[in-house]
Amino acid sequence: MSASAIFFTDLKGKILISRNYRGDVPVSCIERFATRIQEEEEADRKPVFTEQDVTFVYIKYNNLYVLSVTKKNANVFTMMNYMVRLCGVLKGYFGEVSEESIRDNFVIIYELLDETMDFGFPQTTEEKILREYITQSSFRLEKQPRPPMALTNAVSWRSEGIVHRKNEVFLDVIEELNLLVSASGQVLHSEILGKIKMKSFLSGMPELKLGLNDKLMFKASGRNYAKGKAVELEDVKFHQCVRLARFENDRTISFIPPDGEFELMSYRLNTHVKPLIWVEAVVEPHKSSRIEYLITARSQFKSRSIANNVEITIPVPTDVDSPSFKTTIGTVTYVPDKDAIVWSIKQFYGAKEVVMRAHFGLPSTSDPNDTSWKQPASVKFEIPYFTVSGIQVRYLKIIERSGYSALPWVRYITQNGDYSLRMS
Amino acid sequence: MATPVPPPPPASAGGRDSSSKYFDTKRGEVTDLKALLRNQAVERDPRRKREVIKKVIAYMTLGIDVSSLFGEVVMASATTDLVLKKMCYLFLSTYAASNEELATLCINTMTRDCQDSDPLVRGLALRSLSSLGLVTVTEYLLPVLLKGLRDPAAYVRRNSVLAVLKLHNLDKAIVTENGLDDIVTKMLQDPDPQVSASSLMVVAEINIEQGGIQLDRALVIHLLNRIRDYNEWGQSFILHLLAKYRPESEEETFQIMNVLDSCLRVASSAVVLATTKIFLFYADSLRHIKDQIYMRLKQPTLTLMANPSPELRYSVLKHVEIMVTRCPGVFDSEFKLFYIHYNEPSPLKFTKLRILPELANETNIHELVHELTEYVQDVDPEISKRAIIAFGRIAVNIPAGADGIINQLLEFISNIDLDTVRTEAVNVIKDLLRKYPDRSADVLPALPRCLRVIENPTGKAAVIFLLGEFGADMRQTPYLLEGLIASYDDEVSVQVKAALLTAVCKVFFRRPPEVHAMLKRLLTTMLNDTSDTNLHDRALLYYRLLRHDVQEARRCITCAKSPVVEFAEERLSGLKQQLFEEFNTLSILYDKPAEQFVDEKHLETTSIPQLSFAAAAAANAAAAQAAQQNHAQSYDDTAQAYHGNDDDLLGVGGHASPSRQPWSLQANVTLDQETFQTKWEAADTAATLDLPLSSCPPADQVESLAAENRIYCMASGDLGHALKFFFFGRDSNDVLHLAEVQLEKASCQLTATVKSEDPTDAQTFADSFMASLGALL
Repeated sequence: MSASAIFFTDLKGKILISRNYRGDVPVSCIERFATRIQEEEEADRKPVFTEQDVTFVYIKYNNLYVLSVTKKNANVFTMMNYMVRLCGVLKGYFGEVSEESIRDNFVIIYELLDETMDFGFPQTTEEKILREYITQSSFRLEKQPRPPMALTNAVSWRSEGIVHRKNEVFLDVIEELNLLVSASGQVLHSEILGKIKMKSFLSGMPELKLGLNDKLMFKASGRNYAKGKAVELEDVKFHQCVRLARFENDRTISFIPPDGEFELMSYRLNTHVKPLIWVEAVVEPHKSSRIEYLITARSQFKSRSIANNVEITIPVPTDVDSPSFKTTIGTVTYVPDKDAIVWSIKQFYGAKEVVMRAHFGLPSTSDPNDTSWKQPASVKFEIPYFTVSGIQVRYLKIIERSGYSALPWVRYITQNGDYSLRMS
Repeated sequence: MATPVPPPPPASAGGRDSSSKYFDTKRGEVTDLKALLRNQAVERDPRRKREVIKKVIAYMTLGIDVSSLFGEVVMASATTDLVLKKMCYLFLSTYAASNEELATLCINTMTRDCQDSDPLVRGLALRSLSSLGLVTVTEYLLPVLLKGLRDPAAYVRRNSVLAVLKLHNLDKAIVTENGLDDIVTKMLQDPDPQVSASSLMVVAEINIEQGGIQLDRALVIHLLNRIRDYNEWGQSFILHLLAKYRPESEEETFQIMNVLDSCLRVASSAVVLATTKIFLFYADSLRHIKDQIYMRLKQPTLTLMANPSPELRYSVLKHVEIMVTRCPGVFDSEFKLFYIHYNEPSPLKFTKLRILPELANETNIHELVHELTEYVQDVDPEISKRAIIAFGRIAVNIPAGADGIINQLLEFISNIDLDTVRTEAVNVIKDLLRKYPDRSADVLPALPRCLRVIENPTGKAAVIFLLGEFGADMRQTPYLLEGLIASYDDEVSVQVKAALLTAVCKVFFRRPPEVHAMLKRLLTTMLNDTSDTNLHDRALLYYRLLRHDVQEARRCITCAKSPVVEFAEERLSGLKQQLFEEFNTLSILYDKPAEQFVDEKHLETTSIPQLSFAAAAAANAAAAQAAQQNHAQSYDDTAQAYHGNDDDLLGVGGHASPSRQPWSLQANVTLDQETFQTKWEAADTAATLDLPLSSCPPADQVESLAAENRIYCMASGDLGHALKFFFFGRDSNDVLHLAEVQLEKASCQLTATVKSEDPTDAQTFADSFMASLGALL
């Protein structure tokens, strides 16, 4: 279960900061990690390996590796999850977690490493609670020391006596669409990953109740619902604050929220979805002279919605030269280090079809058997005010003893997840 | 709709511009720092002092040895400035081990801080003092620690509890002599969940040699009732411990599962996987609802697979792999989730390629084969190779799909111009024909071409093997072989040469006149070729065999091969079981049990509790009786345990290995006919069996198979249309089980009626009888 030490390293495996909790593993063991990182291709690496009875478990985060070492047969998920959470906490403290920000904030990181883990056992990783222990961020020294509140509280994720001048709650419903389309144009697999993020700025100990157009909830309450207006959520996971017993009983989502930003719930739907943005590529290779592309993109959502920042990436052979493009919308660029062309469309209206032509020269020596450019095309996009699953927030009730009225704000967005279309 | 404005991130102290400068300094300045720390002016100005210490910590972070400043930092730590104190204590605990003598200097300040009015300071001091890792400190630590364990602030208590473990690592005796272990054990009941969880962690590690914490029912109920109060780390640790607890009854199992069901809805993968582990263990004992339990676990685990971190996804997949093999069928309908994505790391892709064939069934096989065909053409040769191996797995698992797959593989050989693909395809075909020999007619016409195009030695050897094994009657075979013999000297691979010799011999036995001269030529060449001893010796052996007696040689070389029914890895069920018991640990990621990669002293016993309720109840009742059992009996039990393992190695029993189950059958039981008859008439039917057999075996085969599993035959007879048997067996609880078995010759249908002295275990007996007939099913 327990880790011996935690390291933050750069992409070459050089230590940026580390904390050795148990002292049973020498810090020099990092050299073995560095060798491993440099010798193996990134795509071939496994996130866990053991050398000379020391086990290394690591995750990659931005341009860093977070690594924990252990001598035991540890619980993988506890170790990995701890590192993920730790990065989340650091992000909360100083925004982007990167080599630079780690250097800039080393003292806070030491403090956080000491409070989030003791002797290799993860302790508290709730950012809000941690703020009560950490001296660096607040320089609380000038004030009279007070014992951390949350320690004796029944609600461990929220302190008492929080006051906000304006009581507000922001809900973000964010859906990601994972899609895999075969070369013949058939949808092989589609999946929606949704999450509801909340930013709560509420005073006191508010009780919240969230109503969704959840099919099972309508059924549980015996209410009628119009067909197509309710969504069946397959697997729902909640933040610790949600009362699960209530949810199991009548699908009511009730909770006392932590203060600030947190992820209230996540869900997954494994349904057949029509590709929101459809891409078709006709490729005409002319042996050893040139290669031509005709790309058609079609938006298959309602015409009043708009997809923002659309980026369609089409792979091309490695040795192409003299690119030329023709398109009626957006801009096209050739990205040689990715061996791809990227077609960016700032605003792509619904129910539209657009076309782009690309032309490349090929050297006469090029290998006709090279198939590396047949990797799938991918699409990035964001559609605001729209959820692909159709989920909707019906209400958010906020009740607090002092009886203030608070405003809930709701916003929807659908983005691409792993969205790829195989090329023929 | 309003756009929420995110609050600006709090300006972190020592932001970018104020901190970067700490790293800009050069090495020679350690001495300057020393001077600064001794400077009176710095001493008086808290802000400057902080800056200097911060610089020291920055040097430490860079890996520069600043341990020579130890004395100065000890001095600086005696301050009321908490920010400064934290930095100093961090420094001190990092360098204490290399400055043992000076370290005693800081004890004074730290012990004083343990009495401070601020709980933050008390907690910090206790943590730092115990982290120094010095044996000399223990005597000072002890009194403050005893006080800290009773501190009103939970934060201090939590740090104290962990300090006990640190102390234990330094000096085991001091912990037990002062009863610290007992105090911590009592603190399992602490009202603060963090303190309680930490105590659990500490007690478990202190007692690791005794097998960790002994969970009794009261403690389990206590923990379960509060499970929602703990944070995710506490929860996952408690669940990890609970996996070792054995419920006393089936009802209790259900109660625990009901409580833990909500843990599957938690967003933490650590908690979900730890809960999954418990459910999986329970599923083994609740065979009648095993599928339902796996169904319940399916969605949560699949959601974890959608985690954005590829490292976590890989770990989840490895666990899903185990679940898929433990309960085939449950994940089948979700096979599309296991499709390979282009930008995934290869270990993830490889794991998916191992899972996909296990999900194949007769309805989805077509789609799966289509998808795998895509992978065969992947840029990465390793992917295409593994995809072809996956084809082989599907064909072995689903006989109905074998035809199509063999055709598909043949198509690869003729259409894909890649040596790796052809080699792997031929290799898989070679294995498949062992199971489906009648398909050889379709494969043979492709072989001449294969021989021309395949260059890889393994592929070539496979083609030659196929020629010898199945192609002896094909017209072209001798000519093909002759060509190979002619180019013998150009061939470098021993593998190919050895295959050639065997193939030529096999063809020779079928068509002596045509091949005789060829074989002679080959043997002469090989006997003169001394480049490889093994090859030379093999040629010599064949030569002497042939000279000794051609018929005998034929018998040796063309012996009938047993058809492939299963792959070797399926038979290593002992290993699989052990891996399963180490679910949610590193073992799963390595496919190895912990003892192969973890030092012995860090091993934790993870044995699955014995979960057979009926047996447990019976064991309680028969406790007195068991005590009287003589030596011979217990020895016999051990023998049975070994025997049980053997059975599993043969792949007969699909159940948990019997050595771990309390229930087993006694060896060499005898019974006379009269007793059988009276017992049979006295008892009621306790279980029945209805099994279709693949063929109608002779009576003595059934008897011997059953006897291997300690189920003995009382009498048997032929009724003309059917065979009839009477079996009996006595189990480890001394309960006698009787069975009447009838086997219809025409339909190969086997029906059995089981009666027992104690009907609780009758079904287990019936199952073990069914398992003993595994080879006939």
